[in-house]
Amino acid sequence: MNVTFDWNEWFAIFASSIAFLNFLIVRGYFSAAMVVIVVMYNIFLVSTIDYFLIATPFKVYIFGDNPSYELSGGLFHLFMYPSASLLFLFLYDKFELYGHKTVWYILGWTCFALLFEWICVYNRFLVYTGWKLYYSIPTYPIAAVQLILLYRFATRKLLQIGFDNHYK
Amino acid sequence: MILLFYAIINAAAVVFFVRLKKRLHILEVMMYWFAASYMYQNLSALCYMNFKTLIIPDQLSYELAHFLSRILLYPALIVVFLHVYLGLGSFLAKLLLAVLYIGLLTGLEWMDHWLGVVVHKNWHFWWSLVFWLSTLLVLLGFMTAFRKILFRRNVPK
Repeated sequence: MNVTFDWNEWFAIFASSIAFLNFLIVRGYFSAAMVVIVVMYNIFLVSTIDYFLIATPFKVYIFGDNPSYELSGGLFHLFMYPSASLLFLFLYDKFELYGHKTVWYILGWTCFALLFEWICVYNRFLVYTGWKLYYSIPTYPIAAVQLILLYRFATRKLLQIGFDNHYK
Repeated sequence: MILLFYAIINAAAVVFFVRLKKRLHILEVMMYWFAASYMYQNLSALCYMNFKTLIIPDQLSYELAHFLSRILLYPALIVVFLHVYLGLGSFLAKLLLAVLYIGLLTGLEWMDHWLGVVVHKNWHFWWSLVFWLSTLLVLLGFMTAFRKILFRRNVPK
């Protein structure tokens, strides 16, 4: 393990802080139960995928300076992805981007996510050791559809136990 | 061969889990499953990538076997622990269950070692006991907190 505190760590802190600020703004729209569900789901999903692809035998990318489990990667798992997912769901639900609007919405988020991934690579927060940016193209729409399905499922189940999703 | 063996025990765990009539709400099952898997994946990742105290052989079948166990077998067993725990009344029964479970999870972890899927290196046995005890305590704390949020009646503002 050879962790040095340099620009990519600062990048992770800045990006996670901005994402967390977004979280603070939008979390009030959802019930506490929904926030826990979305956050926990995201932490599980991204840590599972990242560990699967970073570990042997694939080793297709690393976070930060070396192939260890760096704090910067943990910051993204705990703050960036859950916050981005809540923002995604907030805009989806608040502006009722249902039906064919969902397709355009997911397309827009995919473009944004790819741009953000490229920024991560440019800032050497994410270092490809076999991965290519275009491999990520199908992953974002799949993740977005899964997230919407989870949200709709959780909303339905919460309503069944007398839980209005939009109130704490 | 090793992957086939792990595929069978993981499939058996999932089938048993699905057929079990659970005391937990479906959203609880999901949350505790995710949390349990995240705990074990963190231990595995930190010890494999940083501390080098766990070794996963450089073969796809071994990585897939470990992957299946960390997202299916271990979380399923821990959610069953929470399900049984909720049905027990006395403190002694709960304590006995926790001791049995720490033994079971530690046994499975060391089965992984003997089969060469996750090899322990410079590892103290008591670390395994402490990890599984900590995992069960964290999950019990998470369950208590999540149930408070989930089952309180909500009055619109």
